[in-house]
Amino acid sequence: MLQKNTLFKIIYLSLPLGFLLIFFLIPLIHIAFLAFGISLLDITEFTFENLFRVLSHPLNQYFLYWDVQQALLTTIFCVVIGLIGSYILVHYKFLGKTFLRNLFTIPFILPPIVVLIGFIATFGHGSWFNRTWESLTGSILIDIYNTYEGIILAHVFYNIPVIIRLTELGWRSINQDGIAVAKSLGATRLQIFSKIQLPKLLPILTVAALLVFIYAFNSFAIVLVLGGVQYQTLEVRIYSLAKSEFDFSGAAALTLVQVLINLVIIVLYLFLSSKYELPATESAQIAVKPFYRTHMPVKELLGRVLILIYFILVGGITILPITGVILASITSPEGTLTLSNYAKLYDYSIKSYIGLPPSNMILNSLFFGFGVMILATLLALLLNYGLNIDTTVQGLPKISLLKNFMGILVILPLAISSITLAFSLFSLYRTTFIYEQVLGAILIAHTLIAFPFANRVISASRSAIDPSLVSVSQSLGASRLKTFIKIELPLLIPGIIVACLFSFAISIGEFGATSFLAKANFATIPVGIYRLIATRNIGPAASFATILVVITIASFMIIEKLGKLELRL
Amino acid sequence: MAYFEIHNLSFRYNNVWIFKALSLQGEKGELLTIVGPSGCGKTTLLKILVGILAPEEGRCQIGEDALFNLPIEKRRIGYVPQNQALFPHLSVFDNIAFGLKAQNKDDQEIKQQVQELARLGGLNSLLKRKPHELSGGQQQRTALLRALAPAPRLLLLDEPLSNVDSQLREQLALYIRRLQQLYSITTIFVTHDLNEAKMISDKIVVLSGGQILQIGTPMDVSMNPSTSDVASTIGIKNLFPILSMDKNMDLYIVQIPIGNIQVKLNKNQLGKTYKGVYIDPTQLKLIEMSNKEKFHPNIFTGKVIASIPHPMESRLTLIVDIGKQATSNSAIVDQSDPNWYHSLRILLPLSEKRFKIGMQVMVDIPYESIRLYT
Repeated sequence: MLQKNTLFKIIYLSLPLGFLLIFFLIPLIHIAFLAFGISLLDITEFTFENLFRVLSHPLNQYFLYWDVQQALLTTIFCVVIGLIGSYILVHYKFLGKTFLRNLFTIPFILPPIVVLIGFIATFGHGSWFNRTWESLTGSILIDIYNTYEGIILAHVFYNIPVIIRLTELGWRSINQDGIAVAKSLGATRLQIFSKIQLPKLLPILTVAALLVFIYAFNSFAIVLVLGGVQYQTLEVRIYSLAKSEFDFSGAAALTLVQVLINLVIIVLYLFLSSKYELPATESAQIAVKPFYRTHMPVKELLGRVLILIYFILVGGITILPITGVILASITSPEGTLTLSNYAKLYDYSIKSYIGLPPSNMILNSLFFGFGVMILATLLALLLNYGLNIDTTVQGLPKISLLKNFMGILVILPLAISSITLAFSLFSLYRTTFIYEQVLGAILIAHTLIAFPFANRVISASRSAIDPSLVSVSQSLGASRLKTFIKIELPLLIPGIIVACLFSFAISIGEFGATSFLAKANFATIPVGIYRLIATRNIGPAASFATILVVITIASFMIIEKLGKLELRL
Repeated sequence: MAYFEIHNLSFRYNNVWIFKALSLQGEKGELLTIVGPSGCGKTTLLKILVGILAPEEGRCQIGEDALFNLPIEKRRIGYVPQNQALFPHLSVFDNIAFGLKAQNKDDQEIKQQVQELARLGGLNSLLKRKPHELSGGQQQRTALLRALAPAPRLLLLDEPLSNVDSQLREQLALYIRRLQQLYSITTIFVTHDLNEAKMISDKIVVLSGGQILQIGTPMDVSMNPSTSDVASTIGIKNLFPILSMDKNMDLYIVQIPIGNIQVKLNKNQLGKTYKGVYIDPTQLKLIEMSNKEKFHPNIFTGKVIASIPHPMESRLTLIVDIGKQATSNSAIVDQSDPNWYHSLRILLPLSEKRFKIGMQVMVDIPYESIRLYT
């Protein structure tokens, strides 16, 4: 009986396991070897020289230092701004709060390339914002090109939602009865904060901060365009070493450094997540204060004014780039309203800038979107079914090596940046049909990126299913497979839809890996946007991006309706 | 030969033995109730029989079949877990029909059988509803009928009434009993509610610490608990642990938390190690404090703290907190320790209205009211 189950287990697990091994783990190991001069594709020998050469290069050292610094700075800004925002959202009651909350989430769900074009459209040299400011003061307010502050601003904008959404759960998880009891015992506000609120908040705040750090540290599109030659993240540096300088072993050495740093952060993240029970649902009811009431004392009124200023500023940073994109998509270079930017997408002449007509890019994007949706979700389903095929528990404690290995293998792609994924695929398979057929390589890369998210959603909805449903079904005579089809699968449907939408949205906005693997005569919407930005066709780029905005926001609205948007890994 | 036979069952979880060499058997059509303190392994035993847990050793025979060699779906065991586990996405009809469909019966037959069962459960008009649209009792009946539908060889019920409010419990317990007798289906019922157990069982199995302490009819087990552990498991009150026991002439001085009592032992009772004392509440005598009668050594003073009427039995239970032994001047009981058993129950006729709450009284514990348990 058990042997039969083991056989089935192997069959079901072989697909997801094989996929991850062949397209993720082995290419990644290959990169590590490549850093030490060993390649499967050439005759080589082991050497430290390559690693030493790359690490001692002053430019690499400078970029590494800068990358860590900007990620830290981004994290600090996000924590300060986000924590205030989540506190207000949890503790005050006012009209349009849900709307505001969703608004604060939007930046994070947008593909980075859209954020980028939004930034350029809003704060770029010729933007309405800067032109107005210039006509008032004589100089522009902010220069986003090749400046430190431009990149930080974009990163902060992008990552504030992570802090707000996660710490909101933290604030809500604080036991209000505990605070009431503390107050009744005569505790001061400071004591309440330091003894009750902070200990509950700190773990999830740290976890959120680690996430922001890792997102900023691995930032690609924003830094690629805004950073120029002066500012590069390791991600951008690896990209240019591999793509422009063809220094594969150099890129591999830097990749190794980046992977190690990411791993440290992820291990820390996982450690904290398992050590502390992080709040996942909004359980506690918080007594909310009304935002405005008549006869408010001056001190209270002043506090409300500060909150208002906060919302105008942060709301402004959040909303401007999105409206900027949409506005730029319907504005001509002369500043008049027009739909010509959309018309240009159908115009064959634009092909001369970007290599192929936009309609082809849309088709490509849709192809990948649907492909990844099916592949990632299917692999996640197989993995979850395979891992849980045994319903009979042996009493003896047994460390399931397979389960642990799978657990690490599944979460690892999250710790690996998209450029690393693409580069490792490229480095191992560039002479094979996998890379020759660019569709295949990109589909694989997107699936690798989307898979951990799809798996997380599926496994979360699977573990929400009461295990006794499965055993009762079996005790009534249904086989394991029949139980899965009749009981588990129908209950998984919301999870499956969310996983599909997640995978679709991730694929359709993916830029880094796609641009690494795409060839000149091939592109997706994000790559098209990048090429349009590079050729200073901001209007058509914005109209292209607007399409992505609509698709992404629609997907996430459905996800929010069906379940809960999880910003965590 | 017994209908089912569990032999030498051993199971450990995370290196803690839940059972070691447990054996149990039951006859066809019997309803066995397993009672025991929480954590004694009641639920674990059911889970092993269903196939959710695999035993380390032991076998279970039903007829010709060695149960543990079969996968869950081939065991033909009806199982109602504590939370009922109704399939939330299926209607009442589909829930009940699930096992029949798994047997690939034809639709007409399934329909007929489900309707027949639903009639017994009063669920006929609710067949299209989803579980969340049912009341607690209706959910319970659906779960029971679902388990019964495929005609299992053994029916396992894990605290099936724990989620039902107290008024409905008795009704449902009797419903289970009727259904069980109607189909004469061999059933193992797990509960921590003794009234339930006594009401519906053919046999009560007292399980504690992974061992079966006693098996018997409800009458047997209630009237003659074999040990003080059984007595405490089946909820007998006025049961005290023995702290020490000394011989004094032909009497024994037994120290229990409320003080020292004198006990007479007959020949059969000598030479055993006793763990507990039971004081029969119907044989205790209450004396008002003003009444300075003879000072028998087994007289204690105390305060009435509760008076509970039982109109159906025309009785009244007084609970008296024992303060001190009448012959001694100091209180023996450390009343600051909430774990000390320092109250005594006394059953009186309902007409006895002299003793008010808060009143100081003396309690006489006659020899014939004392029973010792190993």
